[in-house]
Amino acid sequence: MLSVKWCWKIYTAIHLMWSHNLKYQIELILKIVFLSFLFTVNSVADAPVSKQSIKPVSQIKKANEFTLLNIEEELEEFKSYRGKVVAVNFWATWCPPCREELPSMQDTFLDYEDQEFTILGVNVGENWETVASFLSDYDIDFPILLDDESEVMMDWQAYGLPTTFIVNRNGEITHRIDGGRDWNHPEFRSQLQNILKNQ
Amino acid sequence: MNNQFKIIFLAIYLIVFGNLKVLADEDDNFIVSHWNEEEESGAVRWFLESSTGFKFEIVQRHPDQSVAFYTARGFSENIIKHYANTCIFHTSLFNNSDDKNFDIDLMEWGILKKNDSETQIRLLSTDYWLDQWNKYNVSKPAQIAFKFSQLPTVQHPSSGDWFQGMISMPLSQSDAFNLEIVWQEDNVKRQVVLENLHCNTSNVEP
Repeated sequence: MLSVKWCWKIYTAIHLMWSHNLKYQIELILKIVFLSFLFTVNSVADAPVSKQSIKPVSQIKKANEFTLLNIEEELEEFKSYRGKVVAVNFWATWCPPCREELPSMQDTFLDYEDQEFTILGVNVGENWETVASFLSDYDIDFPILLDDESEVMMDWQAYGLPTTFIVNRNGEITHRIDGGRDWNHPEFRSQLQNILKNQ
Repeated sequence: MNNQFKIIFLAIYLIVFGNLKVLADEDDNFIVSHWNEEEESGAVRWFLESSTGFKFEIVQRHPDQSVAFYTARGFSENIIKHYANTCIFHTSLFNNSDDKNFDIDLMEWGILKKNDSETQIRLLSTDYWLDQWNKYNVSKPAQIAFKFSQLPTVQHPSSGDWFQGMISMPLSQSDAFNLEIVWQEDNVKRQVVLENLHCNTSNVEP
């Protein structure tokens, strides 16, 4: 977006040129400015994620426990991850931003798993066949759990997909992310590193 | 925001093109709206962005797209047509501010039909549709997919957060309308009207 300072400069230039009857140049400048502006607006609109924030929750509270089947069809208890920082990511195969962030989540998982960090991908509302078939096209090593009735998602008060909660080593929710992120983005990684350092 | 800034963009709008609007709300916050047409689908997309970081994008959705999406997720074609034949849009909503908290309740948004600007109507809520699906005994997985594919009715996006999903309106496919968008920024109410929207029909020009 053009800054106010630049707009002021452009306005001044137009004003000066107008006073010299240089209408052709004015028209040209207006077109250039407008196209630059339009390009900026379009670029912003086409890029769904402009910030990579991981926001702390207003009140830290204990995460609700759950037990779900994983993609290997074994029961997993959330409390078995106590002692690690866990990113609990609610997702679905039909959700475009969920699909988009999966590869960068995998990279992050590999880069940080030796720092007592893991990701739990909790699929919402889909059956084993759908999820297993979908995952065959992706290289995902972090655990995938099946919340086929969406009960855990509702219990954790996620509004939409994807939603990610960061749970500290004591099992408390400390951060929440609504919407997709680029987990490889330096801004995101820097915040995650700080969270791991402080928890 | 200074007046020169507004004048420049208003001048650009008036002189060069016609698909950009620059508005200011009561508190002098800048709001830009414009539209363009998607090359592949021909669907029209409208944008709205405020100087305070609220951004909203709304794209026409053809009834066939909705039928295809939901039949692939367990709906029968006959049932999902009740939904697909209303006026559906795919939307994205962003908090691009540095530090503001937004609160949004879609049930506060208003629709004003172009041929009846007196009567404000509301969006069809996700709960309304879920009641319908219960009456039609739609399967639980299909209902879950439906629920989470809608733009959440109530949202509290922090800086950097964003939501995507469908919204539906009780309009016929040929209706043109204005959409009053309402949100709160750190508990201050904001509203702006996005003008001249219309549902996805091939014979209506933007």
